[in-house]
Amino acid sequence: MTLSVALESITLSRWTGGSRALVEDIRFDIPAGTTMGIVGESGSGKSLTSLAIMGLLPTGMAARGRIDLDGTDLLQLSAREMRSVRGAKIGMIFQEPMTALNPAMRIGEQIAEGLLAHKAISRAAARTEALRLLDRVHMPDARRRIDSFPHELSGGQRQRVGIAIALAPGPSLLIADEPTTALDVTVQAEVLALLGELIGDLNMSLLMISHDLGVIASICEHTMVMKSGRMVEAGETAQVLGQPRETYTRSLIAAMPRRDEEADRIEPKALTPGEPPVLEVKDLKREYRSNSGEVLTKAVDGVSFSVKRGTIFGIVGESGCGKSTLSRIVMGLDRPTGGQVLFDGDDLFAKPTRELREARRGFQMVFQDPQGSLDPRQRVSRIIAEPLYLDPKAPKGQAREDMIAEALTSVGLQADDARKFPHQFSGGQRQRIAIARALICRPKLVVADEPVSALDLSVQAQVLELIRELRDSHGIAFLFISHSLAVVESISDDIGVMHRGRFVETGKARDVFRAPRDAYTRQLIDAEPRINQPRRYGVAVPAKP
Amino acid sequence: MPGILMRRLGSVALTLFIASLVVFATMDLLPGNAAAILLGTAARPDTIAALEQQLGLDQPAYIRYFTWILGAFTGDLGQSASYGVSVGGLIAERLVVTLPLAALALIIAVGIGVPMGVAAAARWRQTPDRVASGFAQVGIAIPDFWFGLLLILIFSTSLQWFSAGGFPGWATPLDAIKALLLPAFALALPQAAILTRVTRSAVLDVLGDDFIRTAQAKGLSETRILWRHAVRNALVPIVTIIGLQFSFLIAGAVLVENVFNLPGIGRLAYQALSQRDLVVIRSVAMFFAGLVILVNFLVDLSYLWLDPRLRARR
Amino acid sequence: MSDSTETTRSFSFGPHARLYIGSIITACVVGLAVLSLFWTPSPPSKMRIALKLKPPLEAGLAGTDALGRDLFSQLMVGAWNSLSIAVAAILIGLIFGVALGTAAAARRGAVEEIIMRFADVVFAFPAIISAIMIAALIGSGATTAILAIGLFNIPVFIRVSRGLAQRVWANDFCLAAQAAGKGSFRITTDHVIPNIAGGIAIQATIQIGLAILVEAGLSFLGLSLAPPSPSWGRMLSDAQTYLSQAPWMAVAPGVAVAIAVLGFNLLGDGLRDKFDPRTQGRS
Repeated sequence: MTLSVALESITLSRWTGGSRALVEDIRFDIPAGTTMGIVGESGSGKSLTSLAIMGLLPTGMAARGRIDLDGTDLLQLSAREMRSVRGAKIGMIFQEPMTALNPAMRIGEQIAEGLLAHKAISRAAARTEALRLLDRVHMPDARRRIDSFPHELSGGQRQRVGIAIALAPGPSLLIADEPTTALDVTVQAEVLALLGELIGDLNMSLLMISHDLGVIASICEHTMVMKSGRMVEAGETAQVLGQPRETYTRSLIAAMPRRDEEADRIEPKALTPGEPPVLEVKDLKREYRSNSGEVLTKAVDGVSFSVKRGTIFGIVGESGCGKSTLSRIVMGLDRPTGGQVLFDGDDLFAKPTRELREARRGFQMVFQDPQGSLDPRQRVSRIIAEPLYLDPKAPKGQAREDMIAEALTSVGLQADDARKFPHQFSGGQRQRIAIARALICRPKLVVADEPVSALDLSVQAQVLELIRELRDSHGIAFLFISHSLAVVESISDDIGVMHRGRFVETGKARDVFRAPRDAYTRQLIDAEPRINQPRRYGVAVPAKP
Repeated sequence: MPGILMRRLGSVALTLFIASLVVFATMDLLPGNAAAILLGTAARPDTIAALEQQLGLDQPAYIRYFTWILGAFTGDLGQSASYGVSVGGLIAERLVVTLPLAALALIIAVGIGVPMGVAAAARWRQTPDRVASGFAQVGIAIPDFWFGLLLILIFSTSLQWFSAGGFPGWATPLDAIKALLLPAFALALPQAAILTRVTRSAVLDVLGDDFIRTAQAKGLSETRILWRHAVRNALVPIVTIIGLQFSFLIAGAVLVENVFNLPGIGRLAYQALSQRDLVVIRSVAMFFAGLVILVNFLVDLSYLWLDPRLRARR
Repeated sequence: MSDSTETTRSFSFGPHARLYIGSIITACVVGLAVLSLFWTPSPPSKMRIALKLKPPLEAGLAGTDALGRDLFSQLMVGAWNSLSIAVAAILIGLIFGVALGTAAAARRGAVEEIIMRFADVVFAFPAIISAIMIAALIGSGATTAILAIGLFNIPVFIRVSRGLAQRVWANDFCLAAQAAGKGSFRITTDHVIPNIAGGIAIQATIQIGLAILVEAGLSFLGLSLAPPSPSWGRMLSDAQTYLSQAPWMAVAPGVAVAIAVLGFNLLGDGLRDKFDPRTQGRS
């Protein structure tokens, strides 16, 4: 099987009759048994390209050019002919394993369905085959799981089902559109390893779409970089990511989170030795109990750490490790069931509610989703000044205007942006506005919960840089929470690695990453795909007969 | 599972209890009393007192309430003053008209609404969609009792295919069904329109979900994707509306039974009002409320069957 | 779902056809209703026995009834009566419903449970049934109709505003406001209400249409406005007697109800299409 793509354009037609090209002039080949990656930021057209190959472009979009699969132009096929290609010759794996599976159908049936559509076999035979496929994708306890509904499985197991569905009719090309983006890093490693094993064993080709250079580097022989619907450069992965020819590729690689050198670090002004930490968390516990008082889960199970002025404390952990509960408690949005949170030496939860509210003004929060964290009906000036409206002693009139302007300029926006509404800004700018809101009260501490996870690589790099600057110039302490090892490593002074409600390891970020002591930390670090490592998955391709 | 069932049952019982209190309070406690209203302003005090005793109105309120509620379980809801028969018997006698009418209307509404809605979603923004959407838009706006009048005008007055109203009784089942056919259509039209609309938007919503793309990527046929994946997952809103409609149908029956002169429970409620027979109104109102609450409960239960994700929750 | 060539066709009226048509119809209905306060072709309750049961255009635009009264004039006054009852009822439903619905979204637990149980109970009484109960207590009339329709709309608005408010509460800006120390009442007034106002207005438009429909039913049964003030429902009920002699008497008021309801529904759907991109053409 050889896929040869020569797309002239993918256009979107509009109501008015006009049309707009979303993708232009894309050419690449995937010879049998090879792996190819398309990498790009959001809006680069990488997903549309893969959907065009499947003939699944959204309504109103049309592809022109030639998509050649073993001599047949897929773009010329009728709807019926295309259906016999989909699944049978090309299988596809999607990003969100939860939503990509039918919630009301047992997984065995969802796998068997594709078989029955393409092969003349009985239902019983299809079920046997589905069970074999579940075993093939290493689904634990497949015999029982075959009758499960998707919601009864974990994220990684669901993606295994997604892979089994794509494999079922025996395609020779797999298209995987961000197949691991929604997964934790250790699960991602397992899924990538499984993909690598399958394409090797079954001699399949793979087209991997990802925004993550590390993922592409770990599995793809060839890589194409896309930007705004156009091809930037293509070639062997080692060459494209190792010695990029184009400026855009270089800037993309440069934007990957990296540690700033200790030498560049400006020490916070007048950090007197023996100064008490801004935030001190002592043996914090949050248990959830059933009505009868029995402990159901221990979301946070005895966590202690402290954050000093002008430093960044990073917490890294996978989903469900308790890091969000921890941040909610520190922000006073939830109450602990044990332990203390000391802010500037005062125990927050020992205070009466009113004083707790007042004390909260000393620290602010930045959230993950820059879309949802700003009220779409308010002007930027109102959003940023939100904390001031609650403080009767806060300055008013011109003094308040000045504070808003200062907050905006300190995050790199213009003072007259204050009159605009959030939808007039890009995602990165919106996150800057959210940071400006956090800064206006001159807080001592900012809690940032996944602040860059929804942003593209280049924007992410700028926001991280801004946080570093604020730490150094204003002496603000940050509690920085993220699932991304690379991001936490690049920005934190001290870190805590969180697993099942506990810190398995804490210390200077540099030390922890250089010489991890805990097995779980080592597992996390090993699982993280990096671009400066050679291809890891799907390497052992057996000799072709 | 039994846990969910018990909790839902408990909440249904609570809702029923509060609803019965509301009915009792408005009909029995608020100004005036049943006897005075029944006899009119010219009645002599001793006549009122006699009737009060006959109706049990001289008892304290809580005794009257419990007599009524306990009676509801044994079918003894007291005597209708204007009809001179037992209220329980009266309701039962009228139900044999109203329930078949509502059931027939529901069958017609589902039979028209669901296929039209699915067709509209499958051919979004094409001719079938425009036809179905137009039907939905206009059908919702048409009052059912007026549509009934039009049907009489066309099929009885002009074409003389059906009689203009009345009910021959179930002794002659074919005639009975024929007598219910026009009113059932009148009741069904707006409900079919609503169902078309809800089905269309529910199926369209599901068609936008990721797993539809997975199904397409498997190379399944359009029909299978539509019914097995899209419609199957759109059933929750569709069933919700069908449940709501059953109660609307029963309420709409008050009007349509009047237009077609059918001796149903809706007409009974209306007649009881003109006779000022509060004892009848009280029980009929409670019957309607109870029916709505019961159907909502059944719809709630059906979610457990329709959406496997809900079974897992506490 | 199907070939892309088939689906790229565009609407002949453009994407906002429903909005335009709905606005025009609603404007006409409201315009005629308001006009009736100052002018009608002939006094709506003036009896002219010589002109009784005349078909449309022979006497007046819509003909006359059994007492020779001009039907079109009655329709215009009926429009005013019907609209004012519908709007008053929806205002009752909206004010109580939104207050309770946003409270339920703001306060989880017992408060929410009580409000939703209350909604269930009220919702169990269809408007016609509560109208019959209220009429038994205080007699028929506009108040009875307004109360019955208004009551039924309270749970409708509770559910809609609670659903919309929950979506707003799920946003991080509400969390940010909480973290900044705002109480749930201020978050509701500052953030939730402004963000759900559009959705509530759209729902209110559609509910006005439905209220007109229910009011017609109530006045058909004689539970709403008392004679001699004309109403669409009672005109229909009068028409029943003369169904074979004067079918136009039964047609005109029904068409009036249908057009008014259609206008408000189209307007509501059109507004939703325009302001809620999620439902574009799907509602």
